[in-house]
Amino acid sequence: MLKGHLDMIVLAALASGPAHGYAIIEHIKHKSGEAFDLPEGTVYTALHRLEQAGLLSSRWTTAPSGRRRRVYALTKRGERALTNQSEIWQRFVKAIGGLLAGTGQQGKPA
Amino acid sequence: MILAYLDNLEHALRFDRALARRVRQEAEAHLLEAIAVDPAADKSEAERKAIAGFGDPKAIAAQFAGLSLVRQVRGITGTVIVIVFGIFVAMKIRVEWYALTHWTMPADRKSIADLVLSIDRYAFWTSVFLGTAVYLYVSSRRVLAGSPQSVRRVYILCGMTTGTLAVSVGGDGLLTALQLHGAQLCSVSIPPVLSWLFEISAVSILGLRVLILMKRARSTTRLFTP
Repeated sequence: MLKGHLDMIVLAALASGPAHGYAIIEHIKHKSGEAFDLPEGTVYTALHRLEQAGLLSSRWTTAPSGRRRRVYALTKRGERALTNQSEIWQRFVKAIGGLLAGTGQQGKPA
Repeated sequence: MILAYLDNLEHALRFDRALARRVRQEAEAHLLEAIAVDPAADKSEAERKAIAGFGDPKAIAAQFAGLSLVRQVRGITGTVIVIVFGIFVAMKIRVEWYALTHWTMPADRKSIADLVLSIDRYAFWTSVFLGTAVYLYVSSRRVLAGSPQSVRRVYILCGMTTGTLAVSVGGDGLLTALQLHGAQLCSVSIPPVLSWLFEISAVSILGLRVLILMKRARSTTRLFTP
């Protein structure tokens, strides 16, 4: 399930502002309650793919420690794509919620 | 341990050197960050955990392979458009130069020149059609959906564009030779010769780029997992 939504997850992680790869991964882990513990290299592939699609921009920066990091940020297109994907996701959640309502499965752990 | 891992990663990404360098730098920054915040007192344990978390270099390379192919395909599409346009401009310059210098084709060569000219025109406009097809195919984002078959279609179309352009440029060479044959070589002859040399260079560059794309696509496809 995660594979199909990785791009949206990465875009959402950058919604609060530009961040480097490690911070994005930590943000995803933290915000998902450690539910998404993906191979970290996979997130970098997603970052490159989103940048190639024009949804992210990136640049090298130097941290206070002197270490160089590549910082990613949402582009205008990226912001629009995130809004669009969020709406689709909300409709999906609502639809599934409607289907599960009354089955006695809603809210029960899988 | 980190260095060995980064070397393996760069080696696995060797199909695209620029990408390999960038991913190596990003992975290095990531791993150093992960080690720095790891509370484990044992540094080698922290390194091992950071490397395990980042993933297998071959699996990462396979994920990047598709992206690399898409970028290469986009690059060659731009080259096709620029080169077809450049050759068109060179042809126009030559024709305008002949008109400006009142340089007409000798009557005894007119019939063969007409035949070569019609082949030249058909070949050129076919290459324009094929070049447009490559552009539309790549911009339709079908290649982004990513499959080795779609990349294969792109380089076949690029190869056909190069082939028809080569016929057109060959025709231009013949026409220039017919025009210059017997004429006294002077400064007036330089622009037609130079414009044809430009065409030859441009079509050779395109052919070379298509060959490089084919070679890269073959090695990248082995890794590519859609």
